[in-house]
Amino acid sequence: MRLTELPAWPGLEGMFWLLLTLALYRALSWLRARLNETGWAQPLIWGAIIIAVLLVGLDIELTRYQLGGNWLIYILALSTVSIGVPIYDNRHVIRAAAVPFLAAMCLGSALAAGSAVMMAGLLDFDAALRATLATKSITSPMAFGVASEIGGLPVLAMGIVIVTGNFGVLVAPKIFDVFGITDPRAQGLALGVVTHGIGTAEAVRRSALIGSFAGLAMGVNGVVTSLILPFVFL
Amino acid sequence: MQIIFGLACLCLSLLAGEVVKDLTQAAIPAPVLAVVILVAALGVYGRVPDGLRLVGEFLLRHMALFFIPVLVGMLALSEMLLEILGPLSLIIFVSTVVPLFVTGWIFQKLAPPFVTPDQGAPEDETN
Repeated sequence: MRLTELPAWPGLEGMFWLLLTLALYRALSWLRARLNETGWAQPLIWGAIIIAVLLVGLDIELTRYQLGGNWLIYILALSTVSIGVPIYDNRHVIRAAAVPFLAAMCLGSALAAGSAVMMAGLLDFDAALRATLATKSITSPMAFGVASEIGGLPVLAMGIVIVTGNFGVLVAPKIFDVFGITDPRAQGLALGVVTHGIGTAEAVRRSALIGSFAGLAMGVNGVVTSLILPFVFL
Repeated sequence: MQIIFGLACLCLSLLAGEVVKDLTQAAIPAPVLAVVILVAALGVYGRVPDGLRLVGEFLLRHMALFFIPVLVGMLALSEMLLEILGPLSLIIFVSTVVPLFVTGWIFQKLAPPFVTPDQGAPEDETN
């Protein structure tokens, strides 16, 4: 390969944005720990908002930021595959409750995607938006790939998954409380299926059992839904 | 070396995923196939190699970091987003609240009552 064919180096500007992203992530993680891990203090959301405000405020084009930001996105593919590790670790957890696990997971997932697509249809969203919404119950690195396979908008798909996750984590305790869902396994499962990684991280903080159910539900649901959706949409 | 080995496991899974996708022409993203292949391979191998655990748990714990540029990228869609902000928020609200309740409730109805808490290795962070 000739030197001119190497991928674009971050350069001065890209490296600045890359470092700023790292620094914000670190600082916001610290802040969240100080705020007792409150669901309102997601480093991901606030980091992105701060950078977006800077870019818009200073009138800097998105592509300038991406010179640095893209380097982090390349790592996402590897992170996605890593989900296989906790799925393998937790394989024993579902054996005892495999049927209820799969039944609740499939129904919950179908409901999350189905209700979103149906409402999108009623509200006159176009086909690309409907396909994008169909991926909302898949963990976002997978949603990215699935959205492009079924004709949705990958970036929007990930954004919707992330927003869903944050919102879900904030309302979940109230929902569990109101409807009397006290079984920690049920809570973990619901969090994993509907709120993905953000909910799983939250679940881990509550207990290892809720966390392992959430992690497993997120992974299995992501894989199963990814395998099914292309056939529904193509 | 352990870290190199862990990275190699992940890359190998991704490569296998790409190969399967190529051979079957399935409309399934290669990383998803890669997860299936990795779990199957771990099942055959019998345990998670130390290097893979090291790398995998690091990547999962800090997944939020790798997503920041993705969310920032939504700036490119800001005009469209502003247009559909109201309906989109409504859709996200309903399609989050209802399945949260239904999923938990169904499992609780069907599963044998919860007795002893058993521990699983937790996994982490963000979408």
